[in-house]
Amino acid sequence: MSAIAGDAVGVLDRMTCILEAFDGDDRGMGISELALRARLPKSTVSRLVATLVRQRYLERDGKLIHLGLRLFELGQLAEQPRELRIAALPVMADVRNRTGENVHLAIRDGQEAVCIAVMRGRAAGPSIVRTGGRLPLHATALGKAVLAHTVGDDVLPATLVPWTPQTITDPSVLRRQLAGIRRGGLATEAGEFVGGVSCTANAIFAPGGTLAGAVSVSGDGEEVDADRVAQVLRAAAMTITRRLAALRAPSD
Amino acid sequence: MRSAVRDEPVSVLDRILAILDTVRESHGSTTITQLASATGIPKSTVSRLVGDLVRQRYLMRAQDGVTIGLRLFELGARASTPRRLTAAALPVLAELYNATGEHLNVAVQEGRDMLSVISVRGRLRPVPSRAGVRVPSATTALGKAVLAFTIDEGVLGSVITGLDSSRRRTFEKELVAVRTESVAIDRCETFPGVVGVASPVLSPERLPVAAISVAGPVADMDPKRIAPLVRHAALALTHRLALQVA
Repeated sequence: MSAIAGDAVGVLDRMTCILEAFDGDDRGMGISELALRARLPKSTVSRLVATLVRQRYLERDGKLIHLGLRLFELGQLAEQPRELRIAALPVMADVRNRTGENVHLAIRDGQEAVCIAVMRGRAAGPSIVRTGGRLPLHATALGKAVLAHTVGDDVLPATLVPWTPQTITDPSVLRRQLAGIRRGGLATEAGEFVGGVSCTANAIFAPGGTLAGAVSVSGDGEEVDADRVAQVLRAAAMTITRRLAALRAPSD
Repeated sequence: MRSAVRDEPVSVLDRILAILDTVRESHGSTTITQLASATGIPKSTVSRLVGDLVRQRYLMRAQDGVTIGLRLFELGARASTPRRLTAAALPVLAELYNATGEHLNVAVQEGRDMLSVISVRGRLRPVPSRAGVRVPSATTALGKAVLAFTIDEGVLGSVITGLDSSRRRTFEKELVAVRTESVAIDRCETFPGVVGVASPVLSPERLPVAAISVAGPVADMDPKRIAPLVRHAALALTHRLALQVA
């Protein structure tokens, strides 16, 4: 019995290595490169890829392999992002139109946050975070907004990894910031995740008062009217809570 | 595939994928008992595999079963076809929305269904479809637009199998018209009171890669007025996809 369990984890691990070898830039890979990046023998990769292509988890385009449609379909069914996205997307479009900056939506997942929606601002540079991308909690405004409202004795990650020279790595400094956010401040970050990009975020609460996620406005740090952004973000978070309540109302 | 799972020894990967596929067919949430009965895998094995899938974030435990986990959301957001179609289609959809104000979809063929990859809300309520949702190929404008140009006899056959001989002839005649017009129409065949108009997006080899549709209330949706707009949008999308490859 334990042999079967061990085997299952082995196969699942290998499947995960293969799927996670594809990053966000949608560059197709041949079997050899895929094997190299997944750190698995080429013969193993060939065999698993054949099954994954048949089941549409991967797509083959000539010699190149891409992530497939089945993953998209399954991903769209994920409930937690789906509900918050439906509630937040029109509000995010409004925030984008008012600020001209990039707008992001994220939820917490363990010791990281996951970006679940992005709206590109007209005036803004390319967004550094993609939908489905993972974010460090301590180095991003979205992460800090979520951390500040997480109940528990020690919510901080064990080590505060420095992403840039600006990243806060002193737990006491970060705790002070989180306390300020908890008292009603907005979560901010200046070049702490990616140099030259700053970000302001506000937590989003579900109708019952539990934390649902966070919404942020980010730009290159110049010509951002902080007061205006704060006002727009606070209103947006409240509107999203109201829309979540409306979505949940019929089934209650 | 179900019977294969029951009758033959299958690999662990097949079992894992059968479990994920069952969660998909249950619209994203189900129980261990239902998983065992749908896949034919013993319940104890299902429990163990689900435990592994939860640990690796493919699934999440819910109150009375399991739901799709965030890893699948993350991987799904990186899937190639929806990303390419979305990048190419956004300006086309914006223009089509300005011209119609109606519910829009870009969908790709998936077995006997069309899977929406991007959707724009119009005035229809409830919303008949959205990204990630399947609609039947046999009755929707999206499905007929793609079926008219497919060379995959298996797909066409599986859709036609369910029809009696007179309906089959009507359906085949309809597909001939779609080939000529490059526009397919769904007159309340799928959703009551909803008319859909779609046009295929073709590859340089003239094989269908997707379809784009406009759907609105039957009371004030004139397919004749919408048809040229949808056809134009499909050509624009075809063109933009060709540029993407080049």
